[in-house]
Amino acid sequence: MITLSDIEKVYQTKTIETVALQRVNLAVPKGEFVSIMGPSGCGKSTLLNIMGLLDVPTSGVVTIDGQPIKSYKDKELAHIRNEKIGFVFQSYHLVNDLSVLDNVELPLLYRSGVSGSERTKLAKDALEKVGLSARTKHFPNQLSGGQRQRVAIARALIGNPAIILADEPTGNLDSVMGEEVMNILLDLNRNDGTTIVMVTHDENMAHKTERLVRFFDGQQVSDSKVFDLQTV
Amino acid sequence: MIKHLFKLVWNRRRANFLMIMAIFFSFLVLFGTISVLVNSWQNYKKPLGFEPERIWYVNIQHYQTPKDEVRVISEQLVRKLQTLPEIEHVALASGNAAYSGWSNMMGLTRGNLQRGINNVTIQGGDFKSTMDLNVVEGRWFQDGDEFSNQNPMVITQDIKQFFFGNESAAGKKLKSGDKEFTVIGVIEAYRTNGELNSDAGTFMRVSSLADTSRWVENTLYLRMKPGVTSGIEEKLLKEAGSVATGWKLDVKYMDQMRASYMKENLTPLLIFAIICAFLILNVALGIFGVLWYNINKRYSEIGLRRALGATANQIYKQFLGEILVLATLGLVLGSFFAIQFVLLDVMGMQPEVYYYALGISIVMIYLLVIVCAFQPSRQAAAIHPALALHEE
Repeated sequence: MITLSDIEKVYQTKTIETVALQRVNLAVPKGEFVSIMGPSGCGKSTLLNIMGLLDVPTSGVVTIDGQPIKSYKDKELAHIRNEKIGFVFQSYHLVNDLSVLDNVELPLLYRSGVSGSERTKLAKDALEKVGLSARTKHFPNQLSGGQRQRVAIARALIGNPAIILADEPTGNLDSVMGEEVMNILLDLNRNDGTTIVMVTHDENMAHKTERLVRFFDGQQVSDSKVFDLQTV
Repeated sequence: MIKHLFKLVWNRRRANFLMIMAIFFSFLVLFGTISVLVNSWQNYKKPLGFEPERIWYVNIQHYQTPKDEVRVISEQLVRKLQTLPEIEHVALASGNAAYSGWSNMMGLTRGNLQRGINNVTIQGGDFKSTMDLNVVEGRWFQDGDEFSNQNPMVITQDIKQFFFGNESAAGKKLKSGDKEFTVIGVIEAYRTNGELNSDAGTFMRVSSLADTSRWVENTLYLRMKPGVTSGIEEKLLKEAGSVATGWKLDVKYMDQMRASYMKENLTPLLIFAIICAFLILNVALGIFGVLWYNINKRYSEIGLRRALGATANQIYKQFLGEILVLATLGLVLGSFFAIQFVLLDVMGMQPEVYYYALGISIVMIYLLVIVCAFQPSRQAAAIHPALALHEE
């Protein structure tokens, strides 16, 4: 599904060169739920940004669905993000001036050929999936953290993407809400076969996924199967 | 997407209220200024009907001279002036010329049609040649007309249009009270309110200095020969004084009268336009500021939209679109009030003037908004999504 080959990312200023990622090789097959762990500043988010085509590596190749993404134009990258990738962020990134329904509809605004009524129907379906169909007219600031994250997940899955990239999705939530959100992601992975790559600091959450990749100082230090998943 | 933009602007209506009001008030001031400018321009484009260059406008004060003598002396004065080599043409007529500040209105009727019209009485000399009038239908006055019981009159073309439409006016009658006039000719125009103001139209008639039932007109119109300067004024007054002893002749040059008229009329327009320009500048800076602020405040939203599949161009269009929606709301509100100007005819102008002004003002506000939004919107489009997503 996603393959990273010899990925390097270097941030360069006039005086300092910071290596964020070094020779990362990672293949995430279709339908896998991978968690990525590591201390702050080890390059997890940079990795996720590169996987999500929000950033370009200094060297190396990202391949999505067998398609190497190299020298793509902004329009083509935006199209791939819209069609194939859903994002979930730690701080939800909801637009406070839009209702829950409008927030969930957002990705389809950038997809051609989807009518307004179709958008609304799909948004309602997505909200039902995350258990928020009663909150369509609410605004983000009227929701709890867990509800906001569920809205963000509904937004990520409305376009039926093959991959969901989640950057610390439970990081701002208490354990109960975190569990709720995690269960939604697990359901998506198991029932819909969505490939999920999740960055997390939480060992418990990570151990619910199939595979755990650890990073340290921009380098991939371990990559192992998590067998706990079978017992969940 | 348009619905989405309206939704965003509507949901941010409190934050956007002041900007909408600024656009609304600027639009109204702009509309008012442009209405006056368009009206003045439309008036300016119309023919003046006479040539003010080289015209000397001479006001006569007869003082204590008995009325019968005034008639005789006035006739002699016209004849004397006609002999001077510096003067091309002379006329004695009522003083209600353009730029003089005088008017002499009279009501004319035809059937149910009635209108107040400027009335010029010619009492001697050759007024047509002096003022360089252009007869477009029928004929100009000729000897004997002043004694005709048909009361011949010459009207301007707009009066002809008002009373007779596209029909020929020559030979037709117009009434003023019980008195009936016969139209003998139509001149292109004779705009006594000057080129920047609307005109009520003019009709002209002739009377004889011998006719004791009418007063003697006290304005001489002199068309000087090319190259004659104001230096000749002393000679002119001396020659006139040899006939009209004890009279006072006050000479004004019509081109100078015209210049001061233009100054008087254009100065308020200019002041109005400067105030308007400051207001517009204020709105422009406001739009600029609001957009910069919005972009910085909505940094993470920009990153999010990019992550969800928006291209840089779509972000650019969104910010531009939002400000255009704001402008549209301000303009809809403004147009509602502007249309009341038309319906109530607040400024006494032709309806088409308001419609032109409305169109021009709307286009100008949209252009202003686009120009001001261009750079901030481009900046929003250039924001790197990965960086923006880490902004809180």
